[in-house]
Amino acid sequence: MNIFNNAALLIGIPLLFAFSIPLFGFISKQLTKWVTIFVIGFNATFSLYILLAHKFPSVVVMGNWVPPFGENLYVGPVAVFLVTVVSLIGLLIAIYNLWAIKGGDVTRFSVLFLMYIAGASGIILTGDIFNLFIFMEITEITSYALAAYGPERRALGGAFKFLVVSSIGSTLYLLGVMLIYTQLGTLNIAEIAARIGQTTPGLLTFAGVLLISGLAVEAELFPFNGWVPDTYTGAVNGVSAALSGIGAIAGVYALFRIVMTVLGKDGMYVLTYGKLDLMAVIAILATATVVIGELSALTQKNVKKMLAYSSMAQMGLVAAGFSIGSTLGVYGGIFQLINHSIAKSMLFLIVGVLVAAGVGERIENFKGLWKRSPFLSLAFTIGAFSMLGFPLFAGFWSKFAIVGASIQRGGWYDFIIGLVLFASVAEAFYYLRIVTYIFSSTEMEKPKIKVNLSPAIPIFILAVAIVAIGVYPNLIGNFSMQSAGEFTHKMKDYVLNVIPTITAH
Amino acid sequence: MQVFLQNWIYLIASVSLIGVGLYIVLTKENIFRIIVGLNIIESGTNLFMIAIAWHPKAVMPIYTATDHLAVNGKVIAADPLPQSLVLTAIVIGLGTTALALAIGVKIFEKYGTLDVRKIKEAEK
Amino acid sequence: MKNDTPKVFKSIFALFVVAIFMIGLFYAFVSMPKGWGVNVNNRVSRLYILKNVRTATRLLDSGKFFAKGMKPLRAEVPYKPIKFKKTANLEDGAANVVTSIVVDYRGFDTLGEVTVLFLAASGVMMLLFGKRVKPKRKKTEPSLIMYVGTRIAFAVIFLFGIYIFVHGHLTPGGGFPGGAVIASGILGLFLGRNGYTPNHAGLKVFESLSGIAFVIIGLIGLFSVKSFLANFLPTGIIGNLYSAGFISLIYIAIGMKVGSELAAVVDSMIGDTKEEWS
Repeated sequence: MNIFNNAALLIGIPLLFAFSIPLFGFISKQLTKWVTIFVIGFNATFSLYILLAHKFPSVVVMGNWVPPFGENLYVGPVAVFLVTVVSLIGLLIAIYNLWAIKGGDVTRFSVLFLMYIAGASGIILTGDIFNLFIFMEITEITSYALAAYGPERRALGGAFKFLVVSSIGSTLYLLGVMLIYTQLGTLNIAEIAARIGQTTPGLLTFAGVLLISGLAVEAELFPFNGWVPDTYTGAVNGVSAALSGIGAIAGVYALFRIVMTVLGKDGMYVLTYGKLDLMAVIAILATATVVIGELSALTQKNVKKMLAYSSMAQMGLVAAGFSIGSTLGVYGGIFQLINHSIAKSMLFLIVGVLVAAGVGERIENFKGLWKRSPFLSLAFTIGAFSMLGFPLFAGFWSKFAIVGASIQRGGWYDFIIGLVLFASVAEAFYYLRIVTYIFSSTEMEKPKIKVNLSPAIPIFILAVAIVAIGVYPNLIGNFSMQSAGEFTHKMKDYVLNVIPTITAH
Repeated sequence: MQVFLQNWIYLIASVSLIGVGLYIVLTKENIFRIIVGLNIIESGTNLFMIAIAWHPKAVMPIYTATDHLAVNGKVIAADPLPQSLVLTAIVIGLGTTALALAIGVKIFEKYGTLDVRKIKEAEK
Repeated sequence: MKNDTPKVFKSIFALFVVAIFMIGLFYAFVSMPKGWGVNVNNRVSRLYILKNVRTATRLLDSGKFFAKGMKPLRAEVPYKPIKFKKTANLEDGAANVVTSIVVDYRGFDTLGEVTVLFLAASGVMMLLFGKRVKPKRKKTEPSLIMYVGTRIAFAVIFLFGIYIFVHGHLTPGGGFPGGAVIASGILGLFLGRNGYTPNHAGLKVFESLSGIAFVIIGLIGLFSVKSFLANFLPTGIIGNLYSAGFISLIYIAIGMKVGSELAAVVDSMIGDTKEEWS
């Protein structure tokens, strides 16, 4: 166990500045946005340093009580990689917000946005099952408030729906945690993961169902994702980008950390303890999510709503990749997750710029966009191609990996090949529809769209990232491969790193 | 089953509270009532957590001049860990409720109603 | 839920969901093994109550904490009997074990909890932000007794709140209840006088500074004991007011923070505002 306690700063510094942003607000409202950028930039730099200097795996001990007695953060390959991605995307969205967020209570918005990133990082880093609940609440409470922000009244309905669904979800999660606590008497993820076989199967099955229903809300899986379209459509575009780019990463991570690490068995393909194989349940839920998401997205006339349904469907693909349970499947899932976050947040930011320029949200409004703004059209096209998995764009490689994993697993998991193909065809249909609209010519001459520097930088960087990953997939692939093992070999790569002496006796 | 005999009344009460809350949230159309339902669910969860921490012979987990929390190497106090988690859960419930009420106030300001169906109609 | 769904179907659906939930939970209880009960000695709480986590840590490091089959030997960790007002220099000096868990053993949870409340208050204030306008309804003027009484009561309530959070490590209570009591005193002031407004800037500064104080206490731990939120002060004799190290400091910060935060929430919920979007 290599202790690198300074990684606690990844949570501590954002908290320190979040509490002091109201004081900065006395000086100037614009300053608070810069403080947000500065702090998220610190997080991004620090996590990049940990990633590149290979300071992991290490355990961050909180309050000097070592696990399993106190709380700890686990800085493993998955955590470092995902925190880096979350902070980088957060940084770009914060740069976009510099231009986009005007009016209302900007100071409080900065506080909430900063803590949204910090909460998502906390979910990914934490090594305690109850602490995970607290960070989940931090991200959820900030996202209700952020989703309700804005002059439009439809934002409120979406935010309220999200609030109801996810507060029920987190209550169910808490019940599941307490049921496990009655059996094992501990809240440390590593100890629970090691000893989960000692619980009663009947109780464990129900606890697992409760945990999944709580976590599937943020991971956007089928029966719990009714909030997605309304919330994404209603929210301000910067917030929608954050919800789809950052919240989804944290949600999927939490779901599979619990299902695969805590409830799963160690083996070639991960299965779960209890009377029901929860990995298969998730595979079914993921299939339903993909089918429903894609079919609903096909019929949408509103681009934001279409992106929301597409986001749902993509999350289903990610969950399908994870649910194969092999290292290759998890690799594909993580890769797909990252690609989706990059592309989807870029698409939402582009829609934000277009809406602010008076283009509108409907598909017809995109007609002749190429003449009006080549930069945005090109970026949108890149994002769309990555989404539908066009070869030589980022999304292709991850879908390819998922298909490969399902072929490797064989058996009834072969249907995931069909699922990926179906998703690609549906996505091709509705994304290419927009792309053809963009490049079609119109008789009416419309004014050119001016893009400010502050939204242009994040869009440009994200577009370049998609192309770069597409041309050189190992950029993300190596880290994803490194991360995948942590999910599938829980004893070797997780438990023994946190509690080295658990098998010593 | 032993836990069921020791704490059955609290466990049944907590589970029924959660059930009642779920029913309210799923059927009611008024935003304020939905918030009340959420609160009932939270109370049920808190009661559940207290119930799994307590047994009839437990003493409170506070050192005082008279009682000793451990007798012959066995701890006789109630389990303090779920109690401290309940403290957290209560505060989180308070935060969620406050935010839900604020959103409700805004909805009433902008739509003029708290009825979910009418809000949906107003959004075409 | 569609608009046109008849109410009966909705109720049946809801009952179905509730029934599944209750049957599942009942099944979970029934399937528990025989002889299982609320046994604190099997749980990690035993170590917190007996305050022998450091001893357990030494056992863990030497590989003797987990028996064969990864069963933890929590009940066999040696401990020294704790005598109220006599035993000194425990690893955690709080007489109230719940407090020692909340602030010390699981202090990181509490930092998150404070943050949740802060974020909820921020969200409420962000949503209800705007120019103050005159309320539409006419309020009845409170009577003289109310006016005078709330002001006298405020002083007592304020003192009581401070008492609760200063004694958090000895008696039931602590930062959160204490802060809530203080906020209820301020709520009384709102009721006692129409148009009462607290000092907004003052509340904001107070809230921020106490939050910063909490994180800085944590950071001092990181730089002195090499662990975030570690206790860096002597723990004293159990049961004394000056004991338990940094627990009282943290509870004072939490109490001030919660008090000012809830007061600000009450204030923004009472006032009517008009939105302004530039």
